[in-house]
Amino acid sequence: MKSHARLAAAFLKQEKRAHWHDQALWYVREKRDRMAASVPDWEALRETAQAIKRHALANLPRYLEEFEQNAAARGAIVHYALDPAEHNRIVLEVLKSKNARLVAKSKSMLSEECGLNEFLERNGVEVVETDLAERIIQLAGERPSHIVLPSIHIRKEEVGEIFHEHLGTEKGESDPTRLTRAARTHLREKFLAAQAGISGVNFAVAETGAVVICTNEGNADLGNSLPDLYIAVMGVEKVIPKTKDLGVFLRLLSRSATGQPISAYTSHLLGPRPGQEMHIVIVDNGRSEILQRERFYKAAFCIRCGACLNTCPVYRRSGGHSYNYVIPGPIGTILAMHRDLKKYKDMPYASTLCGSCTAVCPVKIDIHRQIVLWRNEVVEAGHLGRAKSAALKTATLGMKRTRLFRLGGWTVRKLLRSLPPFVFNNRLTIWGRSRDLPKMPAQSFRAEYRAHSKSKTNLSESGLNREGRS
Amino acid sequence: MTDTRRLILDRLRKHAIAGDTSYPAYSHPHAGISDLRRSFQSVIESVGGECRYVADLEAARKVISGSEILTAAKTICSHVKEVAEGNFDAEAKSDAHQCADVDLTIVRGALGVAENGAVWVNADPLRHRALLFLSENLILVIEGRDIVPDMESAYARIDFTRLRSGYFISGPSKTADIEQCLVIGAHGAKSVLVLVVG
Amino acid sequence: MFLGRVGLFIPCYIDQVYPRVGMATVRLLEKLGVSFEFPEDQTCCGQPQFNSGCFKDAAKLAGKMLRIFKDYDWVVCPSGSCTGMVREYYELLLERDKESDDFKHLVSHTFELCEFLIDILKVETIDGSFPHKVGLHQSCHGLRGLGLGVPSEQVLPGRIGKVRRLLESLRGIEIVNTGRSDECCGFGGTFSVFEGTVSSFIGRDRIKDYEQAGAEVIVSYDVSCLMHLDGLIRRDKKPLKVLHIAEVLDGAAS
Ligand code: SF4
Repeated sequence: MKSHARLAAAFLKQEKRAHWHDQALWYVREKRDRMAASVPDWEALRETAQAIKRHALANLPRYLEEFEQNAAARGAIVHYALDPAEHNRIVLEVLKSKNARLVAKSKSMLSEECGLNEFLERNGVEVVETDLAERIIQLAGERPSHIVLPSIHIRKEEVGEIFHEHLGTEKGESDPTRLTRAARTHLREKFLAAQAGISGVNFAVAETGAVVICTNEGNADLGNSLPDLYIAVMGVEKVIPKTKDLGVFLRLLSRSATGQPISAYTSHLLGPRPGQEMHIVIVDNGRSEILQRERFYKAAFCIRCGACLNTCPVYRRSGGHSYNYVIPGPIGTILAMHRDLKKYKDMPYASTLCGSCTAVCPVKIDIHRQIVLWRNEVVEAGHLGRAKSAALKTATLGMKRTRLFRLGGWTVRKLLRSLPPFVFNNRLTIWGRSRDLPKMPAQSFRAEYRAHSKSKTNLSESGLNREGRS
Repeated sequence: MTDTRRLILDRLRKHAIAGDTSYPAYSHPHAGISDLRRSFQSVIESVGGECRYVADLEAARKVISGSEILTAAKTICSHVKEVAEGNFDAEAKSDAHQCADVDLTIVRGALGVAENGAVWVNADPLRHRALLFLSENLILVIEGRDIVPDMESAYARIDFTRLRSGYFISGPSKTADIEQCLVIGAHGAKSVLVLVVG
Repeated sequence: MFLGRVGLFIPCYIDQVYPRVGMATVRLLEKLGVSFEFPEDQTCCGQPQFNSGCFKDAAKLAGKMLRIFKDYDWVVCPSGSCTGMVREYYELLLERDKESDDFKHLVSHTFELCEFLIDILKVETIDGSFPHKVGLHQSCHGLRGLGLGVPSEQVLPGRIGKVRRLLESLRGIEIVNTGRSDECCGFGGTFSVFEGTVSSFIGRDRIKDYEQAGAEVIVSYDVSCLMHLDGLIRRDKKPLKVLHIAEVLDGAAS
């Protein structure tokens, strides 16, 4: 597996495309800023959102039971799954029980996490992603590069080619409107033919048993209303106590995600429609473990808005596929580490720790702080790598003893001053590959300062200058 | 399954969440809206929809009778007969799939939200809720007094005790999945007109 | 104003590589009539180690900092990120000392230079001139960590920020507005080495922002960001200059 640094470097080779990627996401971030600013109580809303999450997740068993009872009373069939295998098995069994061979699926990061599509396909069920971006990704045989904008890495000409091959659009067609129309026609057929719909869930309300789903395209809404079988899959953390809380989260979600005041459709489903069977699969898959970790539990507060990706200077310049985990960017990092510390050890290092993620997050997760804490976990587990560790160890040794520190600084300054610049400003040193090293001064601050204080004391001007005492 | 359920709930009880975990007392009314009607209309327009204020249903009828949206529609399903008769009775169809070719659907909305242009549609009176998403175009009719400032006040007015399905609809369906170019009309309605009566 | 003992905390790279920034800080404080001491024993706050995840190593240096500076009434530092290190993160390193009075005192009395000037010395204007177009680079640690201004993500009053207001008091100065007002420069400590390609790419974008806004000088309260940006500027042979804010204020006030 290639490291983030290498995959990112490859991504940046196509400079124009990288700039486009950066700017497209920054544009979303700016829309988000405008939308956030239009709500006078924005920061207080974020506080409240976190407080609700804190309360809900600290009392999750109670709220899950309440949700389950209410949803069941409305006629939904509720399942629990510990891991992806159980989740996938339940979904397959339900589909089989209704003899469903074609599924119209709406975007769900959970099913991505569980590898549901591949599993169902292996078992003879055709799954059609109905969100346009997800469909593009599916036809291209790729994985999403963003949790809200899964195909943000694909240019329109490439969509044109994919659609030409799979949907029979004209060769060379790259007009977004015409391509979208073609997808609409193609997917409308699938919607009408599908025997089942599957979607993720944005919020599940304990008080009523309602499942709430937000989309802009109307795909989840067709998928949950048209077929006779509908399966909603959700992580345990999606449960919120009251209907009233939707007023907080929905006001934050779309504004943070895409800079819209609300998504075009927000479905509230309380049980199946007449003549339909509705199943809800509630999945843990490691969420309970996240909640058990003192330093990291807030990662489970995430409402998957994607704002931390859009704002991240590193994500924008490296693309979602440079992160090896299904969820990329800042939130992906602090989730991936719970899965496999060793496998994803480079992810926490793919951050400048600028803190912008923490400042945009609608539920105020301390993302950048968790990232640096994960670096510590990587080091403690011995995964930092020998070269990096040794360099830092030497530095620490030097810093601990003031005399050594001075000697070290003196040596480096002398060395760098006496050698011609091309020796260190070259491709072999990591710093020098694209940056010049600073020009080295003749002496250190402490030496200059000592001289400065001495001359001051000699002049003994006034009572102002007492600084030379040490 | 019951084992899994117990296992998950037990694990969740061992959480490490620190700090104040009580349910917060809160209220965040949107204080920034001075004119509900103006805001409602301008947000709907900003999300690609249309909003018209009319004195009464008769006026609503007049507004749309000559409009392109009505004349261009072949199959019209109306649940607000005072506004338009319609020529397609979705209630008579046993299967929602039979509504696949509806060009225009007219239904009542219960609420309008000024901060985001969303209209709350209770779909329970409809035999086929899918109609709301299959229809190429949508006209939503709400009462002027039912415009509320924000989501908090909206939810305070919605009764969930007997509801089976309800939707906030804010403008037409849309996507920006191809290079962030906004395209109106993804899977759902390509146009949404909100008529505010009174 | 009687301040008690003021300790000058000069980050390791300023000591060894940018003494001119340290000296500018010294002269500026002298001009403002502040008596201070420079404890010779100090080396480094431990940020490079902390930033890499080596908390144990960083803790040793943090412990040393605490011993050296605990008896000062105020600690002043011409770096946002090193100040942030002490204030935001020492609690993660010095778990055992966390509750001690010395620790609490150090953390609550360590100030970045501009903050110290504005919040403690109540300096509102600097008498001097700097007739240049300036791009003010608000480093992330100072902006988001220390709250030297309101970052663009947040919906709060005070967007202009303290530092900008102080700079704006100089005669002839023009502070340009960049498209992305507070985008990271891509330095990120050890990130600049571990992820050199991304780091440089972000840095070049940032420089472009300043260029397009017409800046002649990039000014910051963090030399580390400036070292990174300057390395790129010189490699690309661009006419931009970088200066630490202490150099600007000291030079202008003379
Ligand atoms: S961590 Fe916060 S900002 Fe990032 S996706 Fe989750 S909720 Fe959104």
